[in-house]
Amino acid sequence: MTDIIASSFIFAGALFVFIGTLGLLRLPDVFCRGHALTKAMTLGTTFIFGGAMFFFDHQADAIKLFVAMAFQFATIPLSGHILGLVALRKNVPRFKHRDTLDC
Amino acid sequence: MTSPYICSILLNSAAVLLLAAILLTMVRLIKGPTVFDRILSFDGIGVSMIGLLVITSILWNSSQFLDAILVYCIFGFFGTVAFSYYLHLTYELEDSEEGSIND
Repeated sequence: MTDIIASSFIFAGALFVFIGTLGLLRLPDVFCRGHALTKAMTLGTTFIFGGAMFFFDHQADAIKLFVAMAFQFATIPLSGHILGLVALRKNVPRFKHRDTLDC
Repeated sequence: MTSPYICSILLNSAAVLLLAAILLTMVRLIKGPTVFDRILSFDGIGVSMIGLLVITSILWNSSQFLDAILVYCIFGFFGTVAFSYYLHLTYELEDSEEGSIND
């Protein structure tokens, strides 16, 4: 039963990563794309690592997965934020209206 | 329906979803109008690869990949930060020739 719940968590995480990728593909702007991708991927990797912790017998493996989860939870929003700051400084063409859209 | 069967179905479909996420991100990596979209896609591919490594280490029952997961997390984050730093050092868009950042 634990295995089924843990693999459901992993499936939910993969679904969130996929939805974030759809946002990256469909949204019109660098900032919108970063918004979609960063938050969905943070939630998705947290789900994936949290589900994968239940599959390993040794405690050291779960600790490694927890360290990776904490690192991803801290650094994916950070890298998205840095990239958004640089894109804002560089005057990237922004989304104004639907008719002037080229993506 | 036994428990390992359902587990295997869920884990394999999660791997397929992550693979589809990598393929959709590749589209944005090739098509992206600015270089920031490409860096964002790079970040997304790294996260999806980390999820695939986690699922592979569960399906093959080996803890050899966990160190690789940690190293991959760190290098993905540092790659994004390094790209952002060197783009931050380039000229502004209105000072340079038209569309030089749009390559």
